[in-house]
Amino acid sequence: MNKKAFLNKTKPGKGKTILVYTLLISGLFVVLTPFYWMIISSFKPEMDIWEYPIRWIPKRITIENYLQIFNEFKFGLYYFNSLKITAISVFFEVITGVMAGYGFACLKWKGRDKIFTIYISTLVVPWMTIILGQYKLLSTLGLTNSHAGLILIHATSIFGTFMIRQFMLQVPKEMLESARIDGLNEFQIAFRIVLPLIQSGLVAMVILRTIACWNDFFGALIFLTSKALHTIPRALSDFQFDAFNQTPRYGLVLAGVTVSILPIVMLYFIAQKRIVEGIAHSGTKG
Amino acid sequence: MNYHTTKEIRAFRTGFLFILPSFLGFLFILIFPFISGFWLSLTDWAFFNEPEFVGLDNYIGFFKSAENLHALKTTILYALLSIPLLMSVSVLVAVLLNNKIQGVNVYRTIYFFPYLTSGVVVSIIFSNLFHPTRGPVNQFLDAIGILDLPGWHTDPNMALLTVVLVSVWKSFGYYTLIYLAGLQSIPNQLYEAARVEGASPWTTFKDITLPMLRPVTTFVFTLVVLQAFREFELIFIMTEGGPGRATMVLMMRIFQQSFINMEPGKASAGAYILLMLIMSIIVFRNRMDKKNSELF
Repeated sequence: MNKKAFLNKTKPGKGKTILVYTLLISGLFVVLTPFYWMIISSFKPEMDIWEYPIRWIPKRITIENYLQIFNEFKFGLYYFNSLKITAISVFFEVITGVMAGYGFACLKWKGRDKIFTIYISTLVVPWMTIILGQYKLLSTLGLTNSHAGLILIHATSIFGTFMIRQFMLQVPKEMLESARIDGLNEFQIAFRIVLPLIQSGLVAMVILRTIACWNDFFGALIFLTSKALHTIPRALSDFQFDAFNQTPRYGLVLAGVTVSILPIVMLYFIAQKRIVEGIAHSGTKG
Repeated sequence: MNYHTTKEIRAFRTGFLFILPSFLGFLFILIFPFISGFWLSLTDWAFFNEPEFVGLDNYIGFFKSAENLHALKTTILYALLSIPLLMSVSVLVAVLLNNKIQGVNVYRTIYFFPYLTSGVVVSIIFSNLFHPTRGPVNQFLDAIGILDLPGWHTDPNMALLTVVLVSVWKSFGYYTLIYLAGLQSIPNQLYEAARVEGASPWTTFKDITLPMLRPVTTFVFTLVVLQAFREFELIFIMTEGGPGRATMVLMMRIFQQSFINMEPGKASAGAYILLMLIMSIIVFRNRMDKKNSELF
């Protein structure tokens, strides 16, 4: 994607420019203000959060909320659970995805496209439709309410496979052919030649899948019942519901929420260019 | 006669071997549960009993239940509110971003960010922001002199709309990106010609931009439909289907029926009906598109 494409429109007149900038900057406020409120409130003592008129620059700052969620409310445990499940799930998604991506993109075999079409068509099915079947399956295996069960559910990502296949399709066929002529077997071609070529796309896929898995609430809701096994989204939801039932401690909830967004912000910061451009392309090629 | 050359057989074996790990997952985690879920929808499963076949009872029963019909109605209402709003906001922002301005990438990046956050996070933030008495939104409205402060998600008449607004806020950035890419493939000459002929911005948008965007719009429409009918997290955390049953969409109803009322067999029927609803909309839209493009 070249930069020039963005700048190909004629330069708008002054009035229009002001309007455009005003709207865009207002958009920034609309998007960022809720996050800003979340962050400053998490650093305020409970009383100050609901002060009226609201202070957008806090008068008093405290890290009490953060200390409490880790000490009293075991947030470290939930963080660890989330990390564990996400890391292992994404690992399997990458392995199955890279292999299947190669099989769909770089190899020609009978039935390949039919099977791929079935793969893609499952993206339409809501998770709710298959979750009961998944639940029955896991309960037969005795894996409900376990991390292993949830990881199994996440182990293969159709969307991830789709992304990897898209990237691999761009590898020139001649390169594959000459590698075959040189006597390399398909495994070697896949891992030693193609994989390095798609590494930036692979990074985008890993980050998107990591974020999706990190954010997963529904899976954790159905497949993890014991509190000790909870991931961050479930912990936050428990927090939110508790906040309404017992003495409300919104500072705690918001500290938890802020902490849970941090990894996403970091990952996004690292890879945003690739992610954004990858998505921008999916519409035109899709 | 159907014979394969050894080359073909070997190619198949290699290809299949590569997709095997993924395919096994696909079979066990997607296909098998899809089939068994359907089978369960034909039974009276209640988690702890041995499922007994009841035929299409659950499906017929679905349409006889007032709760389910209400959920269906609410779901369609939610879709009618969110789909046009989401698509228009996204395309308009994309059009805005498609101008020659400084820092387009910054805006793009920031607008997309909420899409990456979890629905739980967004729900928590907004249920606090929209709190009818202490929330900053109503405090602001109060400060500018509005007397009848809206109840947002606590008001049965507004709750669904509130959830729609939150979901638009969360996901417009994603669709804006897709539209933006589509906009860039529109040749500049078309805009030039329109300018020369003195067309207003709105006419240009209506008669050039929108028609040229049609393939992208179809793609976005499919995605937005999928999103609208599958919305669960925002509702579960912000309103739990309430107040009353104001936001009890089908997804929420299926969840309630399955895991709270302990009637997963019946709930499963609802889930397959939901799937059929989604598919008919997508297929219908594709047919309409084919018809329209035949007219051109």
